[in-house]
This record gives sequence, C-alpha cells and structure tokens, in this order.
Amino acid sequence: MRLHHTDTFGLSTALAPLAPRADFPLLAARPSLHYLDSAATSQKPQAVLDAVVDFYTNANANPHRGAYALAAAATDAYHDARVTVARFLGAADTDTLVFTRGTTEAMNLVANAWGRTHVTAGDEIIVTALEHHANFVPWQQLAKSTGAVFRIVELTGDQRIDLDHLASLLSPRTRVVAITHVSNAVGAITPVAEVVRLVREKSPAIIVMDGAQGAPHLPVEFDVLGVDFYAFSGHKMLGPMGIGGVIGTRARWLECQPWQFGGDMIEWVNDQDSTWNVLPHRFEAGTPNAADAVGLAAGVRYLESLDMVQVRAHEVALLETANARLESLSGLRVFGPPAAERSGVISFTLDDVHPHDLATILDQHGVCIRAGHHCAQPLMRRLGISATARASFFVYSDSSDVDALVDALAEAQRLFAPDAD
Amino acid sequence: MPDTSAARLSAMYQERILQHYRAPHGRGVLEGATAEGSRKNPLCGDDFRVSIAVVGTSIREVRFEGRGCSIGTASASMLTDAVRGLEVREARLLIERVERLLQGDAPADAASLGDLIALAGVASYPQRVGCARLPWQALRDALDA
Repeated sequence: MRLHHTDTFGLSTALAPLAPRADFPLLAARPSLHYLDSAATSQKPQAVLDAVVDFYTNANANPHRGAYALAAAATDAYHDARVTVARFLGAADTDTLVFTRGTTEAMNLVANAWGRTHVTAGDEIIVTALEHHANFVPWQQLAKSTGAVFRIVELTGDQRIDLDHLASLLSPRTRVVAITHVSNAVGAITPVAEVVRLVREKSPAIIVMDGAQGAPHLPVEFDVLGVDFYAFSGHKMLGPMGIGGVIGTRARWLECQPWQFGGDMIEWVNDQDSTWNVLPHRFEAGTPNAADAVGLAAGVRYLESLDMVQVRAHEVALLETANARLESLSGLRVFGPPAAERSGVISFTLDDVHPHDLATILDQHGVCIRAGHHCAQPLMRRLGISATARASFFVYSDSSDVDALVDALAEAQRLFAPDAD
Repeated sequence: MPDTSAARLSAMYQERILQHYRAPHGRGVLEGATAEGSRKNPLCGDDFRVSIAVVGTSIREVRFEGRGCSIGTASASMLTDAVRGLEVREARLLIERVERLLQGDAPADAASLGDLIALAGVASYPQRVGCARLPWQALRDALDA
C-alpha cells in the first residue's frame, strides 16, 4: 500500500499512483498531462477498451434473441457483466441490478416507475441541497406533476447534509428521500447508516441514493447500506460512457410499473393489453448496451484488483498531501468537510481569479480541472457564488498531479495579482 | 523565446484585459435607461446586463452590471467605452466586427477598434469565446428591445 510514508526527516515522500499510468492509454500517451477531472469522467484502462472490442469481435449478436450459438455468447457476456457489477456493489440478488445509460437515466427510471404510482397530492418528497441536477430535477418535476410537497434538506457550514434538518422534515407523508452518497460538487460523504436510521424511524419513505460518486471511490455493499435504490454511472468508474445502472431491493422493484415499453421487457403482447417480463428485463426495454456493460465489468474487475479500501486510502492520502501544499496559497477557499468525510475532490475558489480563468490557465500547464456549477445550482445559490474550480483524484493520480495543480494555481495568482504600485 | 502555449496565454491575458478586469469601466446601474438586455452563460452561471440610454438615434450612455470571469468582465468594460456616443446603426456594425474578431478574423482596420483588439487573443480559446461574447449579446438584446 502506498500510504504517505515519511522519511527520517519527517518530510513526505512522493505519493505514487495506485494504478500505473501505463495501464491507461490516454495517460500513457501524455506523460505531462495532469488529469484532475475524474469526478466528471474517469480515464479508461486498456482492459476496458479490450473488453469492448472483444465483445464486438467475438460475441456480437443481439442478446436474448437468437437461437444460434453466437447469440447465446452475447447473452452470456451480458449476463456475466451483470453478475460482476452486482458482486462489486454488494448485491447478492443479481437480477435486481437494472442497466441504464447512467445515473441520470436511473433516477428518471425510479421517479417514473415507482414515483408515478406511489406519490400523490399532499405526499412529501425530500431531496438535499447537495444534489446533482440529475437527482434533484426528476423529483422536483414529479412533485410538480403529482401535487406532492417538495422539501430540501439544508447543509452545515462545511456543506454536509444537516441531519437535524432532515430529521425535522421527515413525516408519515414522506414518500421519497432522494440523497447523494457523495457530493459531486464538494465531495462530502453522506453518513448513510444515520440517514437510513432516521428515515426508517420517522417515515415510510423509500431511500433513493445517487451513487455516481460513491461507487467509484468508496467500498459499496448494497445489501448492507439499507437503501431502496442505488444508482451509478459506469464511465466514472473506469467503464465506457453510456452504461450504468440502478440496484433496488426486489420488493421495491415489484412495486414499480414499467416506464419504457418495447422489446425485451414484454412477456406477451395481446391486442388490447400486454404482460411483462421478469426482473431485470422488465425495466430494460430495447436492445441492451451489452458491449459497454461488458466494458464496465472489465473496469469493475480492475477496481477489484486494486481493492476499494486501497482506492479510498489513496484518495485520502492525496487529499492530505494537497491540503498541506494548498496552505501556501492566500485567498484560497476550499469547500466541503475535512478529508475523513470527503472523497477525492477539492472544490475551491481563489480570490481575484474567476474559476473559468483558473481552468484556462491551468490547462496551459497541462492541468485539467472542472470550472462551473457542477450541475449543482441549488448548492451554488446557497454558497452565494456562480461557480467553483474543482480538482478530483482517482486511482492513477499521484503527488506530481498535486504539485502541478498547486504550482499552476500560484502562477494564476501571480498573473492576476493587483499591480504592485 | 516563449513556448507557443505560453505566448497564446499571454496574448489572451494581456495587461489590457487584466486592467479592465481589475477596474472595469461603465459598471453600475444606468438611471434613465431606455432599454436593457441580459445574458447568462448556463455553463458557469455568469450573468451580464447591459443598459443603454438612446436619445434620437444615438446611444447617449451605456452601463453594465453583473459578474463574470476576466474575459467577460473586460469585454463588458470595453463595450461601454466603445459604444458610448455611437449611432444605433454603428453599434450594430460594431457587434458584427467584434464577433468576427472573436472568430479569429482580425480586421484590416484593427487600429480603429482600440482596446477591443485585445479580445483577438480569445479566439484561440474556443471554450472562452462565449465569455467574451456574452455582454455583446446583451447589447444586441438591448438594441432589439
């Protein structure tokens, strides 16, 4: 394990990447690139690219359809991908993992398939001020169309969910609590056990968790978490774009109505009515994205080989390294809780330099960061700002990335410093 | 000899832009405005309002409000300097010239653009052209209002 060793002089030594850059073709081809935008999308290891090419080269047919051997190979590959991803996320009941295009589609699925049949006028839906728009707007719109009351949990001074406020909002009328596992904008990690305990104690609500930033960065055991639905995006966890999913408890899935209709999801179509296929197919209308599911499974196996406990430890070590170096910058405001309660995200503003200017200047130093509202406008509004700059780490990040970030920030500050006279 | 990327960067963040950013001209509420336009950049939330006071066919006064990055703020500041006193027709032509400048098409009579020529460096940064364009779009909205 490459945790923060200190030498005899008490100085930190360089923190190596947890995964070799050589495994990631884009990074290997750009030795001087410092990719610090993994919260937006991760880079992909060769193993993932190979798995996608292998599917199209050796197993391409439409899953669940043909009676020939090649179609069976495609079906098997798709099924194996589901088994692998369900195992990685700690769901023993493999068929409760429904593949989607990603977290956004997963949230829209749950809001439609469960929400439309279980939320009525006067019911209450709770989200938090930390949510990504993808776990905010589907619920806001469900509330609008059903006449439900839409409530927002406010935050503590360091942008964690205010559990006391959550407790005060919960009631017997609460039907949905939609909450992020890890904030994409500031990295705050939700204390899931406490949230689950509060919700179960005070309401009959289902808990829908946005795991887009949780699944890639923290060990996740769905069967232990105690939430009803957990959504994730493959492309943030080494997989291809366009694949992700949502795990639900079997009981909740059986309460859902299909939300998209078409091939694969039907059992029998009569002239005037139809019946539905079993889980998980009931919620996967149309030809599935089998190749990318296979690619995601390869990404998941890569993460398993690193061990998610080590992934988390690596990101905490990077955060601590960064925090120590960032202290040298004046006028820096870092959002979110301390490293122990934050994923590998540094969301910040720097006096006198707009985040967009920072991103442009850092880009010239080969440092890729995100600048903007991070699809979290309710949060930005509460912070009283329009944007932050965000650097985010993953398995291939190392202390040279931190150094490049801090050096480039110092350079930006020099460029924008008010004239000496 | 500076490397190309550093040269491009300094071309965009030249002193003229930074001066306008640090101490913008024409910022504030325009009492007696006859029209105004507002534009928001949905990517970053930056927001500019341009207010004009038109008397007859000429723009007697122009002010901007709002917040944004150095490029957007400098662009708005330069806009107020350049547009004050122009005929409405001239202001519309100027919007076109600035747009061509941002597309990387520097005009032959560049000198007549004054400080605005500093925006030419932005053309090398397609992701930032929208920042510079925002106040000019707001001005066009005001002229169309």
